[in-house]
Order: sequence, then structure tokens, then C-alpha cells
Amino acid sequence: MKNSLKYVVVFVLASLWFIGIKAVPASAQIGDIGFFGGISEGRRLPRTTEQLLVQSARSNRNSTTTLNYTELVFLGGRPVRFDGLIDITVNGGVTEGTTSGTFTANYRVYPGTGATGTVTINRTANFTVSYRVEGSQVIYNYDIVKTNWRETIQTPDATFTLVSRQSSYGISVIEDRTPGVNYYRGDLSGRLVYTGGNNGNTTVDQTGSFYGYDCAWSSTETHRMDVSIMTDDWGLQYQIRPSVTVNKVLQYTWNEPTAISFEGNYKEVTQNITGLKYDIMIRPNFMWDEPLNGTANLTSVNTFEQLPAPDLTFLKGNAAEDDIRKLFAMQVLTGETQYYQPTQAITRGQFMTALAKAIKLPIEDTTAATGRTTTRRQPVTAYLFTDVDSTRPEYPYIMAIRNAGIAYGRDDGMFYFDYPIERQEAFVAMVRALGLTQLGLNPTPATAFADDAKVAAWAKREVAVAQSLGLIAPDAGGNIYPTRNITKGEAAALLNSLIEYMRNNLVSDYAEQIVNIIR
Amino acid sequence: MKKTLTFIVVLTLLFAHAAYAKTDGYIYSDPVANTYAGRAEASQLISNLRFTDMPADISSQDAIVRSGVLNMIKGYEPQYRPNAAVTKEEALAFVLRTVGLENAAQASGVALQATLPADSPLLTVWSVGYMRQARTMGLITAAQYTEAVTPDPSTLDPAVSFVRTAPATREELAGWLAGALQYVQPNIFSTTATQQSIYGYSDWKNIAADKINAVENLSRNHIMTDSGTGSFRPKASVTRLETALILRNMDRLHYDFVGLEKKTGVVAGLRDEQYSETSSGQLWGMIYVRTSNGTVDVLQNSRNASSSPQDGAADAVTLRNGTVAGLASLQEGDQIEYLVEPSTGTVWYVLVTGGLSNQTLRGRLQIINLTDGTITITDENEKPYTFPMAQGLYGTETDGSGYLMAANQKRPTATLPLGSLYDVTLVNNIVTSVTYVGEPELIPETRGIVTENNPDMGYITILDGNGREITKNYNTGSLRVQKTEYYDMRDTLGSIHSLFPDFYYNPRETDMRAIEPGDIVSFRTDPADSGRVISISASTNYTTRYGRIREFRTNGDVSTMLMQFENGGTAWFTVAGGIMISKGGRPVPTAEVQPGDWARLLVNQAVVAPGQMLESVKEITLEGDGHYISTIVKGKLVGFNPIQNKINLQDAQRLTESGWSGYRQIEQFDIAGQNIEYYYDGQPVTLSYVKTYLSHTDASVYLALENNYAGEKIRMVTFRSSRDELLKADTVLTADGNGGFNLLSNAEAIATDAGTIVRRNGRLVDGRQIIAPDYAVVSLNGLNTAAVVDITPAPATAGVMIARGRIYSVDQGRSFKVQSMSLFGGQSWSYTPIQREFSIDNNTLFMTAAGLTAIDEFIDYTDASVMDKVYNIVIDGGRAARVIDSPYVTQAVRGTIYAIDGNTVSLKDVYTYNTRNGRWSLISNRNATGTVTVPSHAVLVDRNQVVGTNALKVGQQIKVMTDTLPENITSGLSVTGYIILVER
Repeated sequence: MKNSLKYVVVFVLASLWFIGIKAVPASAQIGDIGFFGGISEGRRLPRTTEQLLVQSARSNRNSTTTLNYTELVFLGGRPVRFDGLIDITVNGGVTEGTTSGTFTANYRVYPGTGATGTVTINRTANFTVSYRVEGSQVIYNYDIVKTNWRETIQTPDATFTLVSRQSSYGISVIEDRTPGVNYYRGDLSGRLVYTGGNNGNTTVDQTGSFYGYDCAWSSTETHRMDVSIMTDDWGLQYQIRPSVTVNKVLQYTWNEPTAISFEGNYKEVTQNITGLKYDIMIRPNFMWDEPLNGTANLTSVNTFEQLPAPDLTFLKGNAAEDDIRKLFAMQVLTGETQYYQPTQAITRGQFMTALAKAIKLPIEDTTAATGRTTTRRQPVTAYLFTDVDSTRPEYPYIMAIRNAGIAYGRDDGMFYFDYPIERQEAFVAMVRALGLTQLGLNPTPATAFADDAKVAAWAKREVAVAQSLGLIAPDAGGNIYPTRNITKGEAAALLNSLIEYMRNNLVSDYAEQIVNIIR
Repeated sequence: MKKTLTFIVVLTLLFAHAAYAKTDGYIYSDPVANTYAGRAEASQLISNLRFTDMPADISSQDAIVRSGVLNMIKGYEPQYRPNAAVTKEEALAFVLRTVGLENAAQASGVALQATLPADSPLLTVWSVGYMRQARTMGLITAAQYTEAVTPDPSTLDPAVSFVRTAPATREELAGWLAGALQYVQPNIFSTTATQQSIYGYSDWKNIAADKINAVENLSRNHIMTDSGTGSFRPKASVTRLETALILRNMDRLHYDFVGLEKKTGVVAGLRDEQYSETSSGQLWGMIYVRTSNGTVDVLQNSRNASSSPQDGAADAVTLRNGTVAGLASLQEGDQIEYLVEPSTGTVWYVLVTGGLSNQTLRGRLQIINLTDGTITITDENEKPYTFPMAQGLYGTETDGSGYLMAANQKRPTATLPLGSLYDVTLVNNIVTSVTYVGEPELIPETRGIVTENNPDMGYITILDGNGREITKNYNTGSLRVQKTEYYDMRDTLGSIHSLFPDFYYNPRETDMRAIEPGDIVSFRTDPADSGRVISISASTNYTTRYGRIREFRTNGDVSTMLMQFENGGTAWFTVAGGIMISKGGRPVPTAEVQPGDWARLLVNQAVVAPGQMLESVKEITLEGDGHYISTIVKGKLVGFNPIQNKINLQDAQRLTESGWSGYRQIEQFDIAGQNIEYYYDGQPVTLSYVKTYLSHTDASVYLALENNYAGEKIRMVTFRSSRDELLKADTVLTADGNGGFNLLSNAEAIATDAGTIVRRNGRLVDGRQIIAPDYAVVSLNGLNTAAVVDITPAPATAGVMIARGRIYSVDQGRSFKVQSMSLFGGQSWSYTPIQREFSIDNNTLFMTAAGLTAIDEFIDYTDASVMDKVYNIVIDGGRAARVIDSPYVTQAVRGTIYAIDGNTVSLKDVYTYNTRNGRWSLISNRNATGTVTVPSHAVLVDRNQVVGTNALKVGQQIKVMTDTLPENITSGLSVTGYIILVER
């Protein structure tokens, strides 16, 4: 009886649409500090609870966000600081299933009520954004709507008014969506002509590029913009590098009372890092007394959230205790803790499920529609690993892992779900989750490890990348033991290092290393 | 215990079989279209159908077994008696069964029997219902029927009467069968314009006229033929084997009538699954069949796990190589024909028709039809072939676009080059893989990474994509070498040069010395000598690393560098001479690299052999002041704000050149950054330790704050339990290179430890980087232990040359001459009666008390002529950096800044210089303060640099040059400083 039931289920699944799934196209937070050389608090990462509520249904933004905004105005020949607000209104976004389309992104910069500064900016810059999708990549072209492009800047020196007729502004962005991280790079170039300077028009040429990414643990955008300001009398050239970052860090607190049912727990603190740096290359002589470089920053208040306190008393003293505790707190591991014995092997199914949760891979909802999840459910794919029963709770994660291209199962069409995972399989999956396979040579003939001969041909490229990213390191003998299995304790450490990479190393690469270096 | 055991059994069985599914990679992953279970009656049938007199040919065997399975013709166990004649009643019953009227016949019989008296002999005649039905259908006449139902047929004469037990002739059977078929489906045979089939029979004339059409129809449809003998033998008796063959030939015609379906496919996988709901457990054999249209069917037979797998509750008769058995006899690769009953989901019969055929075809891709699941390729004669694809090989994305699977990756069908060559692997005519081949290769190239290149010996060794080592020779003189350097744009002309070799400049053109281990190369060999490379194209393969330079030692042309990366790991690098080092977007000399600098390295990570990596630095980009220690703070810890990542200090003071100052009662600092180091009395501690034990300590805490773009952030926190003692800024006399040092004015040796904040020219370093003759401010805490060592360039002002000269001529916008000049010597001027020329440019600042004037206004004509006027000139080599219209300054005042308000600087400990006696004197014993007004055209000199007027800081000792001093010098002296020298 049970047998026939099982086949009914399989049959029903098989008869649903035969469909592959792409990463959910959350329109990245491109341009949330504007494109004008200023900074806003920008960026936000949803709290875990919010994520659970909304599941993967991150819809297109369709509302106005108002953020604190700071910009340095150089029009008078020296930097003066404006503090005000920016309204960002994005109507629409990349519509799933389309290969091209348009939406609008409107920016408004203004002092806001109660502003006291000596500098005011009133700017309206609306863009029509046309996009096209090419596989995992999306190209966005921002075209400014000239008819309502307005800008008035008051400084202690003068009041400048944009002549939109003579001005132009263009932005083009390429975004690459990988399973765990959406990476993007944009270039912008514009010429802004102002009247109101002391002598004739002031022409501002700005050209630059920006880099950003968006992942579950951090998100960053950093601009590098070269600006030259020309008047009839003098010229100014500077490079300005604004950056906005948000990331989530964990903090553990022990409880003070003794008689409390849990000893302590983690908090997840979301912190913004927002600032800019500028370097003046050429300046008007009358500014000889001004510093040639400087910074400006916006302080913001961290938000935070309590994370659950799993009962890990059975692990006290184990080397992996903290790693496991963190993963349970972050809901990367779920369920009853005592089933996660650090000395036991972790199976492919268990590791991949945890990995999918660690990178917050959107999964298909196989459950009945409830609450807010109804809006965007995708049908269950018919691609089945015969050894992954669709009734298993891990099933949607394995399908998501497979559809994201992180792991494909083995040649005979099975996933070997309940088999122990090999170290190299885990390394490869981690690099693919980051979408960084391309950093490795294709093909990679050899890796730098002493036991390179044991690394399977299909794994060499990603293993080399993992080594170069610092995700893995060999033992004292230079070995990484690619074919050995992994204990649950080691798996927890690996997954934590991946999350650490997404939380901190990416930030350094995209923020610090761009802002601090003049090119 | 028992449960565990069962579990193990399941796993073992499941995977033992799965390992054989080699022929069809998708068989287990594709969705299963249909599942057919075996039938309970199969096991009895199997044993019944194992006849001892089975004919040798497969089609006869199949016909017999099949008719048995279909319950058409029973045998006489253990014999079938194939050549026994079939009686008329048997033949009619057979005909009615084949067209699906068995039930109608039975009903007709029952209906008749109901009307018969209880003693009627007809009640014993089994075929009476069939006869009656046949009469109804017009297969036999009423007269024939009457004869047929004669209770004792032996009373009739077979020559004239219809004797039901007499053998049926072939033409009779043909007539009945054709008639029955037309009865159930009137248009089953298309109208025959010409009768052709029967003319092939030599004895066609013997066929009765009323049977001609029937024979023709059956013959043409290959249902009843001459079996290759050339004669139809219309009057011969029908044998049992012949009826079985007729049934086989009817094929789908019959199956449609009885609700069966015939399918074909290949056994592509076998798996056992076990369920143990009861103590006995049930084992299911699962046969995965790749059907001829590419879908997957599963045939399942159940067996009792505890008994022999040969017999079971649900099975299907299987004929394989002349043997009648169950489904378990099927093997992977068997091509099968199988009968199923869709309405019940059961499989009845399986015939193995052949073995596995596996072939790979190469052809040009023409069409991928995702709707039908077919692929069409053409051969070299452009003849198209269309094959069905295994289902797992293709699919459709959410957006409707199709894809093919290749090497486990989805390839959008829209991007597959049509018309190119592909290898298509067919397993029994089902495509199981499609591999792109492309077009014929014209010039073979070998690609790999260089592990060794020896231009002197003329050989190169690479590791190719499969990790194989390949060594080739080359002749340096006759070799074409191109290389893309990491800094090359990707739009260099590249291969265009191969087509137009006369192009005047190819930026990629180079020689073999430019090829180094780690490069990726692609080379061509001499067609006549495959061991010799004739052209090679290379690209660098660099990666970047980012971190802090812990040590940097230059020895001759080569430097060694210890880097510490963000994850805390360290590595030594050798920096060869000639490596590009840049800072602020400009190349800088090696000497510019200082310990504590942060840098981004471009690194060649060359894997020179599997498991062996050689790292070499290719470029160093030094960061600006982003990681400089902008502030050093001292105070007492009063608490944490963990969520906002803040630390609160009481009595916070900042280190200035003259010591701790800028007292704040409470101040907040940011500990949000990564890798903050915490120390307590020189020992590293964790943040938790600090929070637990040091939150409210009386110990002093010293903070090093980094100049982060997003606001100052703490880099290092060090607690010291002793009293702070600040030493005067002084020169380091000796340093032991291990953190210990002596100051010029202090005999005691000073030690540093891991917790000492050592700032050297703004950069955070460790104590070993203190060297003589550094100029340092040291704050001790504990016995001769430094809490803070702040090293800056020693104060000096002699490096800046200021002259005062009278203009003799001006070459407008280019230069001017002074007829004589005096050079400023720190306090006095020395006159040189030599004419000298200075160049001027747009960056030359022409300054007056009123502000800047333009270079165009520095002219020697009109009323504005500067001829004969006297200017102070800041000299930058042969160039005038500043030309300042300011008074001749001869009076000097010295003091220490205690406040700055705009351009007014308040001094304490003010001395004035008496030019007459050459002595400095304190202006007041009680209140030796004064103010200096700094006009915008003042020249400020600090550490041999001219600095801005706002560069003065509280705590600095300055010497102010002014034009006049009041007669009576008292407290509150006020002067204007035209030249200001920062002394310490």
C-alpha cells in the first residue's frame, strides 16, 4: 500500500511543469547612494525574522525610500559639506521571466525640514532604466529624463543652477547573479553645466565606475569617480570614493541570572559603514591653503535582533561548539541539536541543505500557500534525483542547490543524498555558492596542494579558487585530503568560514580596498 | 534490532543494482511517466506456458506465449501441440475473442441457456454462446447455426454440414475473422480497388469466391498470410500455432479491442526496493524502461523477500531467449516489447526482442524540437536523421526558453550553434547525450600553464588541462611570441597581426624571456616536427592579495617583505628590482614603502608542479592614509555599548607633539572594525576578557585610532596597570632591533611589548621597527616600558629656502629676475649680490596681504609694474613656488601654542630675541603669553615643508618672524607672523 502511494506522489510531481529555476531576481540595491558622489545610509539587509516572514519573495521595490544624505560640493573650488535627505523612488524592476524591459529610478536630494547647513542642494534626477537579461547577467542602462532634471546648489560662495539642456548623464550597470552573491559593476559619465558661478558657466565632468554586490550577510557599493570642474578662471580635479556597506555580525552574551533556562545567546547586529574619501589632484591657486584630501562619513545606528539559544550542553568543551552554536542560532542548522553530533560524518544532503540556508538560497515553496508566501511561488521542478524523496524536508533545498548549479549529483542521476560528503565536494560547492568559479583557470591543471593528485579533475578549478580566496588552507604537510569525508563539526567550521567570507572579506574587497587606494 | 537489519538490506540492494545503470544517465532522474505492476495470475501463467514442444523460432514462441498470456489459446500441459487442428467452434470462439466480443458471446450463451429446459443437451455445449453470437453477427448462417448447435455433431456429415467439432479451414477462419473485424469496426479495411495480395499465392484460385475479399483484406494487413510458402492453402485445416500467429499479427488491432497497449523500449535500469510494513516485508523489483519515445516507464514485480525471487505475488510473463519466466529475468540493455493494460496499470507480457545497441553519430545539428523531444542532425550528404531524446537531456526554463544538458550543465538551446558538428550518442535509438564538436580544427594548439621556461636551453614545460606535463623545444631566434600583460587592455589588436604582419606595432609581440612560470600559454608546433614550438601566445595569470606590510628590507636591488593578511596569516615575499610600486596613482621608489603600510599586491601564483606553488610579487599598490593611525588616545575605560560597537573613555586625552592634551571627561570610540587587537600589560587578550575584567578597571587604556573613511575606528586597545609618564620628544640613540631602545636624553633603556602602540610616520608598526635616529614621543607606563611610541620626522626647517629679492625684470608668465637677494637663515638674512632668475608658472602663488593675485598681474610695465619692488620668494629649485609681498622680517618671537582661534594663535612661554645682544628672554615671569596673528600670506614651515596656515596645532613650539616688536615687551604681546617655523 505504501508503495503505490509513493508512486502517486512521484507521478503528480512529474506531471507538473518541467521547469528550471533561476535565482530570484531581487533588484540589487544599485545606486542607493545616488550617483552624485555623495553618501546615504543606503543599504539594508532584512533581519532573519523578516526573511522568514517574506520567504524568498523579495518583490520589486515600488516605494520611496528616504535616507540621510551627505555630499561634498566642490563647485566653488573647495569641498563644502551638505547634509540633507535623499528620496529614492524605484518603480518596478527586473520582471522575472522577461528578457528586457524598463523601470524608473528617481532621485531627489533636498535639505529637509529644519536643515541648518550653509550648503543646500535641491536636485531632481529621474532615470529611465532599461534592462536586458542575458543568462545570469543583467545589463541596466540609466538614461536621465532631461525634462525634469533640476539642480540648484547654494554654497557660501555662490548659487549654482544646472543647465539641463547643456548637461548629460549616463550610467550603465552589469549585474551577474550567482547562487549566493549578486555582483555588479557600473560606469557613469556625465557633464553638468551650471550657471551662477562668479564668472560664466561652471562645467563639471565626472567619470567613474562603481562596484557592488548583494548577499545574505553583507552588501556593499563603492564608487570611484574622477571629477574635473572647469570655469573660465580656474580648474579643479579630484577623485572621490564614496562607499556604503551593511553587514551582519554576531555577538554572544552570557546571561546574568543563574536560574535562567538558557545560558546565553547570540544577537545579530546589522551595522552600516558609510563614508567617502577624496583626493584633490589639481586645485585653484586660491585654495592653496586647503587640505588635499579628506573624508566624510555618516554615522548610523545599528539594528539588532535576538537569535535563538540552542541547547548544546552536550557539546560543552567540543572544539566545534561555537561554530555549531552560531549555525543553529543563524538557522543554518535547524531541528534538534542532539542530532548534530560533531564527530559523525555529514551527508551530502545535510551539507547541501545547510549550505543552501547559509547563503539564503531562495527555495521553492512546496507547502500549501499561507500568508504572504502566496504571491510568488514557483512550481516544483520535475528534475528528480531518484534517491531524493520529494517528501523529505530537505528536498526543496537540494532542488535549489541543483538548479543554482552548486551540485548536480553524480553521473547516474542520483544525488547520493544520504552518503557522506567528500571534502572536495564541499569545497567546490562553497566556491560555486560564491559564484567565483571563474577566478580559477579553465581548466586548472594542478593545485598547490601536496596531495593534488587526489583532487578530482572536476574539482581542481574550484579547489584552486578556494585556496586563493583563503577559504581553505592545507595542513602542515601541505595536504587537503580531498577525498576524505567531513565530520559535522568540520562542516560547521567550513560553513562559518564561508559566512565569515561573505560577511567581512567581501566588504574589504569592495569597500576598503577601493576607497583607500587612489588609481 | 530487526528494523536496523532491514534498513541495511534496503540500502545494499538499492545501490548494488544502481551501479549498473551505465547506459542511460538520466534513467533514474527523469520523471517516471507510467508505472505498471505485475499481475497476480502471472506466476501461474508462467509455469503453465513452459511448454515442452515449443517451436524453435522466436516469432512462434512469442505467438504461443502471447496468446497464452492473452488467455486465447490454452495448452495441454506440458505440451502446446502446435500442429493440432483447430475445430470450427474453437476457431469461432477465437475470432470473437480477438475482436473483444468474448463477453458478448458468454452473455449470449447464458441468455440461451436460461431458455433451455434443464435436461437440454445444449447445456453441455461450451461453444453455444459463441455460435449464437456468430450467427447474430452474420458470420455463420442460420442453417449453419442450427447444425452447429446439434447436440451430437457426430451425427452430421462434415462434407455437407456445419460440424462444430470438425477442423476449420483457413479460408473459413479468414472469412470469420474479416467479418468479425468489420462487424466491430465497419471501416477497418479500406475499400479495395484492386486485389493484389492474393495474386501472390499460387493457389489463389482455390479460395472460395465468398472468401476472396476476406483473404485479401487479412493478407494485405499481414494478419493471415502464406507464411512465406507461396500458397495460401485455403482448404487446409487451421493449426493451433497458426491461430497464435494470427493473433500476434493482429497486434494493436487486437489490443485495442481488449484495452491493452503494446509498448517498446529498453530496460535501462533495475532497482529493488523494500518495504517492511509487516514482519515479512515486501521486495519490489523495479524495472526502469526507456520507452521508444524517450519517456520512462517502470515495470514492477513484487516478491516475497523471504522466499526465492523467482516466484512472487505480482509478475508478468516474460519471454527472453526462448525461456518463459518473470520480470526478474530482464537485464539492463534488453530491448523489449511489452503489453500493458492502462486501465489497471498492469503489465501482462514482456518480450525481449534484442540486446542493447549503442552508437555515436557525428552530424550537423539542424533542429532541436522540444515539443516532440527530438533532435535532427544531418550527415555529410545532408541527409537528415531525427531521433527522440532521453527526457533528462532537455527541458524548459520558467521563461519558456529551452535547454539541453551537456556535461551536467544547462545549455540554452537558443545558443547552440546550428549547423555545427555534434556527437550524438544513441542508446537503442534514443539520444542520451549531445556533445558539441564544432567545426574541423585547422591548426591544433596546445594550452596549459608554464611550469618551466628556459630560453637559454630553448625548452618550455607546461601542464596541460589534464595535468599532464608536456615539454617542447624551441629556437629562440625563429619563434613568434606574443604575451598579454596584466595591464594590457583587452582591446589590443591581437590576432589581427597574424593576418596583417606588416602592422607597424604589436603591443603583444615579445620574446621567450617574457614567458614565466605561471603564465598560461597556447602554442603551435612545427607541422614537420611536433616537438618544436613555432609560435606561442601567453597571458599572465595573476591574483591580488591585500594586507599590511609588517617588515620591508631592501638589500641592493632586491627587497624582502613580510605581509600580514586580513585573516591574520603572514607570508614572506621577495620583491625584485624593477617591480612597479605605486602610491596615490603615481609610481614611487622602493624607499617609499614603509612597514605598517597597507598594500594590494599583484601576485603570480605559479603552480610549477602539482602541489608546488611559487608566489612572486608583480606589483605593489600602496594605500594612502586609510589605515594610518590618526589619533592616539589615553584614558580610563568606563564601559561598553556592545550593540552599537562603542567603547566609552573617561578623561580622554589625545597625544600631541607636546604630550597628552585635549581633555574630555567622557568620549566614545568605535570598535566596529575587524581584527581589533586588545592587550593587557603587553599580553594579548580577547574582547570578552576586556568586557569581563577590565570594564571598570583603574588601569590606563591607550587606543590607536585608524583613519577610516567611515570615521575613526579603533585598531588597537592596550591596558596598562601603572602610571603614565610622558617623555619629551627626543631622538632615538640606539635601538636593539627587538623593540628595545634608548633616547638621547634618557639613560634608561626603554622596552616595548606586543601591547605598545608604535606609530611610525603615521603607520602602526611593532617595536622592532624603531630605529636610530628616529625622533619619537614616548609615553611610559610601567618600569621603562613604553605604552606609546610615536615616531615622526624630526622638526627641521632648514630644508625650505626663503629669499628676499628686488625685481629686476619680468618675462611675463615665464620668469623674473632679481638683481640681488638675501637668503633666510632661520633667523637672519644673508645678502648675496648676485642676480638670479626664477621661473614662474600657474602654480606659483603670488600673495599679498589682500590675497592671491594672478600671474598675469606680475608684470614690469604699466602702473602695476612690480619693477624694483621687493618680495619674499619661496624657492623650489630654480622655480619660485611663492612670491610674497610682505615686510622684511627681522624680529623673532618663540613660544608654545596653547590655543588657536581662526588666524589668531595664542602662545605661552613666550621669548623674544634681542638682536642686539643675541639672547632670548622670557617676556614675563608671571604670565609669559602673547598672540600671533597669522595673515593668509604667511609662510609656515614644519618638518622641512611649507604648510598651510591652518596646519598649526596646539602644543607646537614655534618661532615667529615679524617685522617689528613694541618698545616695551610685556605679557599679552601681540605680533603678526610673516614667517613661522615649527620647532617641535
